[in-house]
Amino acid sequence: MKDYWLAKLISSVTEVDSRKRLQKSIYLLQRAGCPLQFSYILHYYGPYSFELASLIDQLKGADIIDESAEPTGLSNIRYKSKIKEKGKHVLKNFEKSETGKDMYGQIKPFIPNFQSLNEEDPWVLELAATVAYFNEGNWTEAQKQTATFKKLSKNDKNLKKAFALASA
Amino acid sequence: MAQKLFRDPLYDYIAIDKDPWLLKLLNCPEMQRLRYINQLGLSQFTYPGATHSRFSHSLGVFHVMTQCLEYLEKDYRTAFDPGDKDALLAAALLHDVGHGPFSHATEDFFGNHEENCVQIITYSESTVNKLLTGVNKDLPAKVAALIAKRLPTGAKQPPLWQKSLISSQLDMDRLDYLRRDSLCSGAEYGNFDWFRIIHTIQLKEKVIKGQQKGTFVVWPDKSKFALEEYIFSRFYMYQSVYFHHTTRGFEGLLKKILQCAQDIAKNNKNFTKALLPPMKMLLGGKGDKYLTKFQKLTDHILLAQITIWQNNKNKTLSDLSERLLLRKGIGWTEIIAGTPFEMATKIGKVRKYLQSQGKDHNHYFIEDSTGIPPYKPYSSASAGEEQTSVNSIMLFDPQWSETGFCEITEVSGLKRLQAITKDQSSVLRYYFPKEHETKIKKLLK
Repeated sequence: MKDYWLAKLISSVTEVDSRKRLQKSIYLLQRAGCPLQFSYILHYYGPYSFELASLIDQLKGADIIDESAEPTGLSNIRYKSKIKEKGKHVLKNFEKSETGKDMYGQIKPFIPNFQSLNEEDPWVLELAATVAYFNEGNWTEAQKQTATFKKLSKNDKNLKKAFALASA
Repeated sequence: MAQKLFRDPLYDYIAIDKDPWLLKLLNCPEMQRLRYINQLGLSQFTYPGATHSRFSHSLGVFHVMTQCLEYLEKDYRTAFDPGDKDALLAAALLHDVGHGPFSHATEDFFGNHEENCVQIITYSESTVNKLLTGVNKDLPAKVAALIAKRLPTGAKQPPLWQKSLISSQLDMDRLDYLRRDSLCSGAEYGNFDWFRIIHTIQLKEKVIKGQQKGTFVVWPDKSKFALEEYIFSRFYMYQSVYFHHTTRGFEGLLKKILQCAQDIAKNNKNFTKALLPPMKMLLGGKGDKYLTKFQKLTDHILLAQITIWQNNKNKTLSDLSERLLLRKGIGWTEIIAGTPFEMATKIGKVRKYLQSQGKDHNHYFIEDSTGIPPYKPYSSASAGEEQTSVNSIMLFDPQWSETGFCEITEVSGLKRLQAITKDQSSVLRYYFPKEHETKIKKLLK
């Protein structure tokens, strides 16, 4: 039910202002125990899931979410997504069923967290997801690896914020 | 070294003539096994000519990589570290050694092919590993890092441009398989100017964020029509071959047969005992023994097992096996622009109906969606703001504003590509026993 959970999270905010934000927020939620277990790889911008990217395309193709492309330069486009009216209707109907109620119960505890990540600075979010990716039980080591990977000083203030966010 | 020439339907001849170890690599049992793995799974149920193997495809990828590297070495010699070329050529040959029977169709049961591939390359007892280690002790790790989706712990991240050649939206793998699958299936949509694509590749450094840089694989503006043709070919091949409803239906049936066998095996020791030895992989497991069994597991073994199951006491297993072998008895329907949770209630009704008819819905009802197939058309927005030459096709022109890099569907004169790369309709397909077609179609409407 990854499609439902993803649509539900997107519906819980006015809009998600970039695909990158969605990728990193979902990764952090997963690390916090969210049932949306997408497989992620370490990409040049931090953890990235082809599976998630594909599911966003699918939700868009199914008319559940709307995505608008906003150019921010010739080679940069920002993809903003929000739930469509049809999406709201389908979610509501699904949540009336027994399966829907159960699925909603599983995602509900993570909605406030998603809403708060949606307000975070995107660069801090990217760093936080990268720190979380490198964390295999040792946060200091994960912070060090992120600094090397992102070519940052270990004392970078954004990295510190990211660490606080990832380890919260 | 004497020149070794292979006849090939796409390139006329493929030569292995410089490094003797590459020929030895080709002759390793892990590579030779690919002669018995069908490149296109059960596409032959739709296109009778699509019976070519993973072996011929791997040889083709090696050929395209050889040409590409010869070209790149002329202009970008400094981009190569010692051993890089060996690793790229070996990765081109070995990238598919982890495929189970009928390629992608059985990955849920015999493991993801990339993960299997990395295991085979890094397993110290595999012939492939011994041979690569003999060439250079660091070579197995380097090849594995190029192929792995998730970098093995402790492995060094390969340069982005090298990853792009092995696995990206426009890599050597796709340049071969689109044309080969098109030629062999007879679906003549997969042709494009591959020669121009590999002979105009450029490497350009791009600042990703702050001081983080990566060397991207890009193409100049003059190659844009060859690239456009490639994207159209990929789109047509996806529509007509890879996502063909008959192929996807029978591949779904194959999965259900394996799932049914796995379910029986859980509580039936005699059933497990009677499995052909390599098929015991169905019971799971990891490690050396697993890899030894995997080496013996080919299309022929799986087909032989299904032929035996045709007479199994379990009626569901024998019935499903017969439907597959005789290529019969599957009904289907599709929903355009749908999403699985939207269909959940209707699907629940279908499952109940099948149970009432004495058919186990877990084994007789198949759900398929465009989001699942391994081959997908190019989607321009998928990478979002995280575009690199791995997840996007990029062009470069120093005269373009800002960085000079531009994703292909945003290039002036190519915006028409957005018609097939943006907003792709989501398609859901359902398969069920043909004899219940009328009733189930009604329930799904």
